[in-house]
Amino acid sequence: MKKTIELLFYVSFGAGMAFGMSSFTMLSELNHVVNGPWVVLAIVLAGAFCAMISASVAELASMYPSAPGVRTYLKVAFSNRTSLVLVYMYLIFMVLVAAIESYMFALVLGAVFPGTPQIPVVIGLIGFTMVVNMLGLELPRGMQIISTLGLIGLILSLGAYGFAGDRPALILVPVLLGVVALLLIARAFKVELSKRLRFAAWAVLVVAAVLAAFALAADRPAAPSPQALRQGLQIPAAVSMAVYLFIGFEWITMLGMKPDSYKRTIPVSMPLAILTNVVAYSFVAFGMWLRLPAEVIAERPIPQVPYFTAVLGASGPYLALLISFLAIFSTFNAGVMGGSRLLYILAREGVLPKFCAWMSAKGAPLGGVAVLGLAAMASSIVVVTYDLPGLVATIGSALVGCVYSAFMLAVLRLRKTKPDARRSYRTHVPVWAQWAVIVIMPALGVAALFSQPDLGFWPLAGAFAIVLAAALMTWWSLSRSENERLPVKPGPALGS
Amino acid sequence: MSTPTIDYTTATLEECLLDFQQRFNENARVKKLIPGWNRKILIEPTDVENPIHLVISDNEMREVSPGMVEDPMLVHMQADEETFKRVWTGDINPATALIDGTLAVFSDERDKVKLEAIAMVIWGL
Repeated sequence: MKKTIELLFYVSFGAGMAFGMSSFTMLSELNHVVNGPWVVLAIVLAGAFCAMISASVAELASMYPSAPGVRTYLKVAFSNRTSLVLVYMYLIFMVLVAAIESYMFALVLGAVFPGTPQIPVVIGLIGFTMVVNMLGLELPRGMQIISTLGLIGLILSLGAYGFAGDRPALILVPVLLGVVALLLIARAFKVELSKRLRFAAWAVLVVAAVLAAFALAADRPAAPSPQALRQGLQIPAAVSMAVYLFIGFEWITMLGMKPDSYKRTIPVSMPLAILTNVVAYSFVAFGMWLRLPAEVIAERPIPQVPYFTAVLGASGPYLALLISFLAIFSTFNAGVMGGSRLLYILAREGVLPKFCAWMSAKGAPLGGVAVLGLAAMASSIVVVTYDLPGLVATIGSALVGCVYSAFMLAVLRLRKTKPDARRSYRTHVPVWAQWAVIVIMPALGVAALFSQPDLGFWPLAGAFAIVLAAALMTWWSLSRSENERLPVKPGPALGS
Repeated sequence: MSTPTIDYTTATLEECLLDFQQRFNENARVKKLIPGWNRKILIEPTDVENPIHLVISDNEMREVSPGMVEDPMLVHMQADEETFKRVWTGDINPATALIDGTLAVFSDERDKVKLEAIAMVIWGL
């Protein structure tokens, strides 16, 4: 596979895994806490945190290439028990995301065809995905790249049209930021740019900066109001919630095509995937703010439907449905596939029952798909019945923030415990900044759990319930694996 | 669980692989798993200069030969020699080796699952 295509595959996969229908739900939830430019600021800051975390994940992946990251990195750095608790938290999060995604699909379908019953749609969609995965059908790599790029391209275009349709010069602001971010990424990864490319980048920067300055001067925002300052204080909670928009970028590390991929291609592809999503989400968030009243964005878990309607008229809901299909086609299916393989490998390791490792004659992980699919169906019924998508997404982002924090801690710990292990990539993030992120991510998660007074203690109770469930599953796994697992003599780590 | 006929502590990696080749080609359940699955597999020990490649085509493992190999659909495996010997003689579960970071497999995701399935069928691990 040529390097450019390989990079494109990783970037589209990482961006696509993070981009789903529930991303719009999270944009709606963010509007409960902050709105307008503050949402964009939260997205940019969350993207910056995730980019720093991705550098740590890249270092871990270079030590343990192709390993099932969330299990391996945490097991090697901490203990089997800690690793399992975090893995189960992550798996519960995946099940809940599948439930939210299918619910959002049902809501969008209902917007186009009013009266569509939600629970049968949700069950049908998950059932369909299970059958596809059990039959071992998979999108060819080229199709996956095209469908994900198509999805993100559509979102980018609609976002850009929404916020710059009347004032085209405003489009230069994100262009400017995007070029700066790309130059920074190139510098961080010591990518040698040709003279012509460097000249073009600087020319775009200067021209965009000048034109953007004129555009902003003509559209000068009002002076900061007390309300704006209050929103500023809510930014920490909003950043934690916005982390949800990027979850999944780390799945790239399991897909390395060759050992060399872990030296540069995979490390650079994760921040590029995050940057792609920062731009896409920022466009849409800003466009929504300009086109829709804040209450409309906050009240509907599918704000893309009124937004696309505001931008495109009566055809808006149909486009929302097309985007839902694209997301199901690529990212939702990829998520179910990835989760089921994680279950399969845990069963093969002996921590889950053997039926989770049942496999079809074609090699499709039947047991993993069935367990994940049935769990997603059960949770989707709860999410639909009690209308919980925002609450569940907020809890999920807080918990995954803790898992990400653990990845960063794992890097620092392994540098002490295995200083001589092979590392074909080292994070460029200074150690003090890594410690800062390790402390800040869980703190932001706690802030997010208390950010919406109208939800009361439900976010905290939900988070506690998930952690408790993960701990109980770990206890059960460890007790059964001690009894049933075959004696395994671990060899030396690959990187030792 | 199938019993190894070869002792990995005394055998060479190539001998372990030749033993595996025989089990692979004689196992009827493996044949059901691999129709149309034609792959070249590169076994690259990280601690010794002794790469070996396997060729699977038309439902059989046709070749176990020393040396590197190139292929667009290549399955590339890396581990230290002892881990390889233990994996190919069924002494350790490849899934455990993958999770512990002692084994790396660079390939399409479906190829990883296929290899896992073959190990499960042959060794019953």
